[in-house]
Amino acid sequence: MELTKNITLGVYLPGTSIIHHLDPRTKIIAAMVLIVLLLFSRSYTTYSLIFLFTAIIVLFSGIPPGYVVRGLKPMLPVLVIMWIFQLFLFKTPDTTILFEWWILEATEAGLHMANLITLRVLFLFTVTTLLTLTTSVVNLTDGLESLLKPLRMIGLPSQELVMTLVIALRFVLILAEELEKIVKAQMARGVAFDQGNFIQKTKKLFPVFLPLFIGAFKRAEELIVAMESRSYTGGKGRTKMKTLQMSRADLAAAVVIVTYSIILIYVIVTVEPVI
Amino acid sequence: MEKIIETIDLNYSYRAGTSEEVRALYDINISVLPGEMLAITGQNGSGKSTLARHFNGLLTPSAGDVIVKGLSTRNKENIKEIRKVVGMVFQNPDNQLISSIVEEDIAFGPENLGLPQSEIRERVNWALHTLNLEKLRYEPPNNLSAGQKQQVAIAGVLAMKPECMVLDEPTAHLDPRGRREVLESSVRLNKEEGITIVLLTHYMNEVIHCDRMVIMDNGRLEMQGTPREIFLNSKEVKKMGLDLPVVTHIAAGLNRKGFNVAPDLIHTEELIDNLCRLK
Amino acid sequence: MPIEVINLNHSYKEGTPFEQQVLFDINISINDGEFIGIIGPTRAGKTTLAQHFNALHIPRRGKVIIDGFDTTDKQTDLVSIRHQVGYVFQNPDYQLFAPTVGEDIAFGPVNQKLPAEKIKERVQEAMTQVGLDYNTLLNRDVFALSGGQKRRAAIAGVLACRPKVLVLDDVTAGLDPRGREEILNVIGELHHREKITIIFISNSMDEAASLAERIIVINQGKVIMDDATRKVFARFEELNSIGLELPEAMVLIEKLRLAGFNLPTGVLNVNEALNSIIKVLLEMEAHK
Repeated sequence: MELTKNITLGVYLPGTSIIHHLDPRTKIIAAMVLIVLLLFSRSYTTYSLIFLFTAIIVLFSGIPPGYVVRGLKPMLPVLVIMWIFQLFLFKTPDTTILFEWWILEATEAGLHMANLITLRVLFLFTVTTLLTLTTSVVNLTDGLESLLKPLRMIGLPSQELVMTLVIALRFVLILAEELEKIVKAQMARGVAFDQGNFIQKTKKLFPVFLPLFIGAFKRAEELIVAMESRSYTGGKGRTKMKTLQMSRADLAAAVVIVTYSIILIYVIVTVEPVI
Repeated sequence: MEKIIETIDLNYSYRAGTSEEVRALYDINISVLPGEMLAITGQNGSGKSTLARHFNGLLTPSAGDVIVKGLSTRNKENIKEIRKVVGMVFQNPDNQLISSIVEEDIAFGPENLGLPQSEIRERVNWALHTLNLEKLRYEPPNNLSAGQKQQVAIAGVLAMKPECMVLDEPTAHLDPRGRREVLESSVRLNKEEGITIVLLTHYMNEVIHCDRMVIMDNGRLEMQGTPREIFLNSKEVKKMGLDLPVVTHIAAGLNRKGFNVAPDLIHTEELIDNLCRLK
Repeated sequence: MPIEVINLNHSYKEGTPFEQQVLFDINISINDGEFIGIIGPTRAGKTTLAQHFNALHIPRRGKVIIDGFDTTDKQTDLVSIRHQVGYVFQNPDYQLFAPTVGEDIAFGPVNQKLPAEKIKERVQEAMTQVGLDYNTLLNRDVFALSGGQKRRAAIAGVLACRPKVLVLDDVTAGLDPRGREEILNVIGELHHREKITIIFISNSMDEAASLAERIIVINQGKVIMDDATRKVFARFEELNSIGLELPEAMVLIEKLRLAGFNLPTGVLNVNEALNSIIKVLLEMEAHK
């Protein structure tokens, strides 16, 4: 019984790699660029390039590749369902029919669409995971706060939003541990979470979520009181102990990302999309 | 001597004015003097936490008043100043740490005060040093024991340089070692840094290190005095659901048996001295 | 309902970069009717070990045999094992979830699919065993209970499954002196009157010393002592060196011994300490 074992999103794996040492702002912008490029990628050639580049980042980050792959495991059922849906539901007028099943027909266009979307989600997830695996929560939020600062002018409460994120990230692990304890307490009184059909299984989860929510509300209340006692009154008038600083490595990273983007955009434009 | 905190006929009810009103405090008059270490004790539900939350304006009296360094907590404009004077540490360390890195968490308070960067850094270093936490500086709180987390919480309040620190049952969730370490820190802050300490607890081996104690029961302040005076009254103390310190229990037992041992001992060394004289 | 732990090893997050071994080659046998205290510093592995006793953890290396059934065996009915080895968690808030005390305590028997009148009987009995008044508290809102009552309700919820072994994981944490005393009395009664095997995990040496007949000391994932309570506490220097705080009465007696008083070692609680001091003082008077 270990619920937190396979969660990699939002986990930070301390290290001393180049990627770890980059300024968080560099990494956040890089991740955003990669994600935007993903959205325009519609051929297997571009995905091969994306795969290659992602693999290189993993290599440089010193994170065991197996651990990154393990993080994708919990998503597998969702991906499979999504793939099947696309396969049967996506159609173009002139596509060939691959096979028919009951009233559904799988088309070639559907197959390509299913593949592309699955790849897109997989890489989207990998890129975000890599960002959090190599960037501590504190750096991540400091980076975000700094990047979002200009938006204060149009009235976005960026500091408060980031503070919310800081707290959320701190409590994810605490709540996961708490969930594990609650599940165990129920199992100890004879609940078999792995038995029964879907509805029965869902029903069994109610007694788990009630204590979890009550606990979370209690924590939130206590946290507010503690923050208030430490003179927190929102972002206004707050100063920071640390300021972020770009280094030469960040410049190098920027050059790499820009080069990569240009190549990828060239491929996206020239190679004909599969669908 | 100017009092740091003074409550005047303090009354408080939760959900006041509704049908679910619950009376929590009755006519509390208590002062906290500069430089002292005061224990507030009593069973769970006796109202000690509710009282403590009046000390920095987290709660405001339903009737009566609370004055912190001449400022009433009833006036909202005073709250900011009051919270600079009175810092507060809570029971559950997990629910008061904000950042995922120890030093960042300690910086949270000074950052809220809007201090310049260099001063924040200085204060964080000082707080880490004072509580011997330098080794944990870059750790995430999730990796620490409950006792260490609580020390970090204390450091976070210390970095705001309060004159008075209210510790609301800081040891209730700790193992005995963590409890001893937190107590030692509190005593050190009081003796060496001159910070006034208000310690809420129901462990009597913590109370004996305080200069003064009060016992609350059912929302009322029932006993008040030095630990030595109060523990002499063992029957009353037990009636309020509290224990006696081990030494007092033994000293009183020996005294009853007719041995020449003072019945109001609280520290181990005193008992040893007393017994050595019988040799 | 004996429990046999054979060469048990356990790691958290096995196969990830965060892997950490928390139990090393544990061998323990627990016999019927024992009252065992498991003590050790924070994060020594006490809870992880204890959660193997009712198959909340299944060993990957080593074996745990409960009443002859191997928990790694696919044929073993783990649900039935969990009913027979009850587990009470430190924080009752994790366990209590039903709106009323009665419904919460009935949760286990309902899972056992017992008939309604049997369930009622079990609830009534469990509440009596922990000293919660059936008539006034049955329909009470769980959240309206005091800290001590909540713990007792949590214990009753486990007792209603009629366990033969009860694992209590630091159940007195955060209670005030009266609440602590009440819980400890309930546990003592369950052991003496109901003959339930008790496995008592505690941070408090005072509590373990005054209740348990046998003590298992865990440090850094290993069993370092497993003996009768008095014999374990006679090795107080070793206990102190691994970061355990000794019972206060014991520390006092040791200081008095250092000051030249001829007191016995292995004093476990305040009353024993008082009596042994009285005895020594009387001897000294007789000498004069």
